[in-house]
Amino acid sequence: MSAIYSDAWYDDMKALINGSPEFRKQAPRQRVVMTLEVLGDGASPYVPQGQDVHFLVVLEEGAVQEYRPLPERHDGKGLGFRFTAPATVWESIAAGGVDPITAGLRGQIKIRGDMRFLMQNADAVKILVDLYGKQISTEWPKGKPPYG
Amino acid sequence: MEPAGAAGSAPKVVLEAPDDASGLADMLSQFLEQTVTTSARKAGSARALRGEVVFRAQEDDQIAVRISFQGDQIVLTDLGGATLPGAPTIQGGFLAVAHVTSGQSSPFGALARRELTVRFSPSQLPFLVRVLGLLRLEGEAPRRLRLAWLSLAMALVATLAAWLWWSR
Repeated sequence: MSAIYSDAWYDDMKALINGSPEFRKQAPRQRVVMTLEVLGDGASPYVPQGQDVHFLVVLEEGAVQEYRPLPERHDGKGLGFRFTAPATVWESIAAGGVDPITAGLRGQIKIRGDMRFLMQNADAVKILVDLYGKQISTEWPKGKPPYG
Repeated sequence: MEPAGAAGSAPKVVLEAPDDASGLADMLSQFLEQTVTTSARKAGSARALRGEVVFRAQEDDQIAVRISFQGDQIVLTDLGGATLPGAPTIQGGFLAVAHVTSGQSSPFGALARRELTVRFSPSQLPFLVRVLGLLRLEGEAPRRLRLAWLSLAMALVATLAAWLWWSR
């Protein structure tokens, strides 16, 4: 059990994804660097308004090599994808309350990157985001979404 | 992949009201722009297209995007829950659309499995086939799928010819 955005949570997420045989089967072999940007929206008790949380996910050889927080926004060098959304959206996905694919199609998550690569690896993307939404072990010390 | 340029410049891809765009419109816009700017063949195909097609998300029928092919530009507009009478419509889930565009599955198989739903009139068939061909990633279609496309094209020509003959 680890609290959301804690160091242990990032390690747990990495282990969760790498423990998925489905993901290992579908994941691209080449190196893919992406960043998730969690924007404080005034509703999340974890990311204050005006502050952001950034984390880095690096895939290579069909596995997550890095899943860690970044001290600041990624500068874009060597970056394959940037996923940006308000904290409430990310946390609602993490709590299993919002479908991540639908959130992406609605524009609640902004996606920047090579869409052709995304299409080619859609199965891996689906598994990855589904795993993100099925973190039954995540702790919510300040309360779980939906936020009142 | 050959660079764009030899067959003329790539058409400009315009996303209307980008700040309020749905994710589907935004992703389709990026996909089309990346497609026509990295392939002269695709750029030429896109420039030759005239007409409109609607993509509707299976996950949420309040998400639909009109793509208007105007030669020198491709304009994407969010329709929300509105319909566009007379325009061909393709509806499918994210995975189904991704599998078809990346060549991992045949459009006919997706139609047969009802993963994709397509609404069109007979006269729109050639346009629709060309749009689907534009959206399909280069080098991804295995030989059997290319044969399937050829078979479809021949079937469409035969259908169109029969329809024209009957409507005389």
